Amino acid sequence: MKAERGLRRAREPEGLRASTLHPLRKAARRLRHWLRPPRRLRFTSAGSLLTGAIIVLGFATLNTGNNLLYLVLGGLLGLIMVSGWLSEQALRGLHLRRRLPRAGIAGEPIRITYHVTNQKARFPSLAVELLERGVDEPVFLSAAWPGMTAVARGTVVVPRRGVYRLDHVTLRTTFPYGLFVKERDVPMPSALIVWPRSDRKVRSPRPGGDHVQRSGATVPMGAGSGRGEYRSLRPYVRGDDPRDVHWRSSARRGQLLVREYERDANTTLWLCLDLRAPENEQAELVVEIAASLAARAAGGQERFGLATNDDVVDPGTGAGQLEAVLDTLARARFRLNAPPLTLPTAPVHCVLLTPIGAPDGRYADHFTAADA
Amino acid sequence: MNDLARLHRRLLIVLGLASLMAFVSGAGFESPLPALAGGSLLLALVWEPSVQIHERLEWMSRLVAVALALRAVHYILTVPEDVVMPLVDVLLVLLASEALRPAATTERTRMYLLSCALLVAAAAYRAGVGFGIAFVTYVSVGTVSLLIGHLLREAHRFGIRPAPLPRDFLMRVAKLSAVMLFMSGLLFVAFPRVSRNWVTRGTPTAGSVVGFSDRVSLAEHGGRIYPNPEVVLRVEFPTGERPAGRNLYWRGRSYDFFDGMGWWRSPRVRSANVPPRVYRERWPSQRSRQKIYAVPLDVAVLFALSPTLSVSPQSSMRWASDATGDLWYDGVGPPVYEALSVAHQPSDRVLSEFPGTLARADDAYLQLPELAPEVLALADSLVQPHATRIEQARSIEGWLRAQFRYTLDLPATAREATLENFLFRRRAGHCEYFSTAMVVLLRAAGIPARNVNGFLGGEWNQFGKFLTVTQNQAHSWVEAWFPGYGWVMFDPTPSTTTDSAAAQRPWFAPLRFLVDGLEHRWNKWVLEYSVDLQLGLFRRAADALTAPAVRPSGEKTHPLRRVTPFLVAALVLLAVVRLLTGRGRGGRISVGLETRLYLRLRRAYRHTGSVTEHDPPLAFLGKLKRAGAPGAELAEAVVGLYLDSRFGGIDIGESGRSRMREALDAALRSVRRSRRAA
Repeated sequence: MKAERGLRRAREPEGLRASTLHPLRKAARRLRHWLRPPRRLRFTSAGSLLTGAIIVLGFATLNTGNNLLYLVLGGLLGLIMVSGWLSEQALRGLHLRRRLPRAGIAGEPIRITYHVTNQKARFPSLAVELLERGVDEPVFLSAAWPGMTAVARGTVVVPRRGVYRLDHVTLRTTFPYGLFVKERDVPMPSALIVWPRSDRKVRSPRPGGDHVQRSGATVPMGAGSGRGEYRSLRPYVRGDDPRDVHWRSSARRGQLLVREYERDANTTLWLCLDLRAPENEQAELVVEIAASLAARAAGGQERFGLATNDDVVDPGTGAGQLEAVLDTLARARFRLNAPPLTLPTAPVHCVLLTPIGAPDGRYADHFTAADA
Repeated sequence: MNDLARLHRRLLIVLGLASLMAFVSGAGFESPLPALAGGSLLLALVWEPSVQIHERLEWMSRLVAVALALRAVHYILTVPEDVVMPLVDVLLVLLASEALRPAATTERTRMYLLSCALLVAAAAYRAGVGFGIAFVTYVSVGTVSLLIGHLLREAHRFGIRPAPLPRDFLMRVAKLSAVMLFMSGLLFVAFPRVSRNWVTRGTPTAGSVVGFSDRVSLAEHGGRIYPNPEVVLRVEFPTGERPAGRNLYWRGRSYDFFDGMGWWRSPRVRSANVPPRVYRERWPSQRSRQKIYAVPLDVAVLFALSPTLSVSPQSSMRWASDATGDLWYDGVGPPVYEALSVAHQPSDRVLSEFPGTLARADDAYLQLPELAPEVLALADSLVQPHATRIEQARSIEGWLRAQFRYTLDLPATAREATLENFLFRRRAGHCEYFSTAMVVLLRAAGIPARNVNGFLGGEWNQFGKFLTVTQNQAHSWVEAWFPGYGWVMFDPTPSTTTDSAAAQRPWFAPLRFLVDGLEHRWNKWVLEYSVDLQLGLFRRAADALTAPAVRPSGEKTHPLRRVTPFLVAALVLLAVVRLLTGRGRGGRISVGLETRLYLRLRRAYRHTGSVTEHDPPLAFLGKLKRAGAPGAELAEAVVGLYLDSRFGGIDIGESGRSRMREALDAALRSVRRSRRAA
């Protein structure tokens, strides 16, 4: 959206010259713009009833030639005209901004806020519903007065995690008489990230990862301190704390080397999620287990990372790390032809998460959907 | 429940009243139910019952409605003529209960259905101008109330309080009803009429004072004939003016048989009437054309100026002329017809000189009851001095006119209500006595004659340019047979009778003319609007476009006159479009000069820098400066003055405004210069 605006800004002087040169074309463009947005129209039950009544009355009028019925019939047709015009006014000239939260959680209400500015000079937009594609519950805007910005808030509940593309907001109204539903789409590309729920009660990872059982005891994360005795230097692997880099040795060997301490291997919880499985309920459960483990680790100020077949989130701590992990989990796509899971570290330091399967002894622990 | 719900309830009541008015204007208060519904609606205006009371009322009304519905079914099965009224009764009971619905309930659609159904039912009757007024009210109020009802419904659906609506918005919506009325009018005028044969019920009939039935009695006595201003005819003349210089005798029915107490029509009178062809040939006089909108009387007689040459029906009716020359019609609804008549009778000189060659009249026109010998002697004495038939007739006519007095007082007793009593003792009476006396005297003198009933004169309605003939103008006169010419008309009633109407005109007569004019236009343009009228209208519109500037008569058509209808149509269209697009001057938020100047500045710098439509003034100015826009310092002066006057509460005065204008002009110039340079 940003890029688009920039592009438009670059073209502006040209546009100005064109408009001074071709007033006819300008008028045509304005007309096209005026007529542009295609509307969808359908009957409400009251509208169908009225239309049926008009047809019956029309036949009666033609049959009898009763002049008063012509008047009544004309009035009813006028009503439909006025209704069409007023509903058009309700949907026209609205400038829409949508505010989405950073992310939402599957199954929990996600709040969306719309700022609707009525740019019309005289006519209010009343009783307009705002609807995201694929969402049943509209957000109701009772009134946007001319020149004013009204705020409408609504919640959506998305049952499954994922990244949802929101390409347009549908403005819908049955204003003014509830006879017809008129809809107009306002393009507004955006994405809503929905994290998996992370509040599942999950058992703690088994030994290998016994540090997690000591959750609550905070482990200070400075270089050296609380990590036991210095053991050796080893080559840098991704995810290592830059503060552990031993610069002097690295310079000597021409390769990044980090210091390794006694308890280092245990302090990082590596969640390894294998996506080579069909996308089903069990897969979702495993994602939720991963999210719950990550949340618990973040709560315990522990270092944790995530590796999937597509992506790796380097270890880290705290809320920011949890968000990064949840984002990746939200995007995770199960499929049988996914590339093989490459582990960032030895399997013995990894907690494997697969939707199904027998326990694999090579890993520190193995979670399946059955553990939920 | 809030103000909007209350307002909606009130508007619904007005809708109900409007539909009821439309209905009553056609059907009247035939049953007590319209009055009940009206009372309930009026009561609802001042009293809002509680929900409990309303529930009870609704329950009761449903019982009554079910009973009435059963009755309606019974009617439909057994009396197939009138199915509307029993059904309307059900509607009215439901309407009465619906009127008393409190605003707290959420049901808001029933009233629309009921009132709309009542409006449609009203169309089945021959509704008067009241229907038009009610319809306009219904549409105007309905436009607003439907909208409010919808907003209430939507707010209820989403469980929020409805947004309050400012009054000016509601007024603007109400103005939109003009669109609906325009549509109504357009559809009404332009929609092709394929049929003009429609049956309405409740066609009003004017109860007649003077009988036009088969027997007209002379023997009424006791009391007085009271004026009856009921309209029977409305007549338009091609000139748009009342024909000057003659009394207008609207001939209705003739009577040949007098039994001493009253007049009868003999069942078999031989043709004594002269065919219209003869009048045309023998009475080389001007023709007079009239377009007559009649109210049906209890007898299906057509009235026209006598003698009538031809009649062309304009409504769904057929007409016929019987052996006596009376015009009859057969059809539903009030007759509308154009009549062509001879404007003047031949003069007395012509009548006296012409040797009669036409067939003699039926002997029935010489019939006399048993009369006192004085009557015969009187006839002799009146005609003896005169040689020609016309002189004899004029002698009798003149004698009655001079010696007798006109009065609306009836004789006191039945014994006094005789012709002899009128001729020899009372010497006063109403027109029936005069005409009867003259016919009897003519017949006694051997001149075939007959009694004719109709209307005399009429009141000219300046507002509608037509002649209104009311029951007050009922009259009776005489036709005598002239062998060379046919029936010639005489009126022995003293002429004071015809002028008295004008003298007795009440103070509210102008208002009555106005209402009558409206009623006439309604009848003519709405109720009687037909395919002929429609074609005529289109033809006139086409003619106005193509008509030569000079009429055949040599009179120049004023160019303005030719384009006026189109101008009016264009203005109406423009008004509607303005209303729709909201570009009218009246409705726009009034913007001060300072604001307008500022907005011009905004428009000029619209494409400069990253100015957007939503920048407030100072942000706009900042962007101009940063972008190094031409004339930014001038723009600063304009914005500064604008902010002072608009938000600073400072009156910058004329000098300030002129400074603002100068700065704006200079800024615009520099923008143009830089654009040319680019």
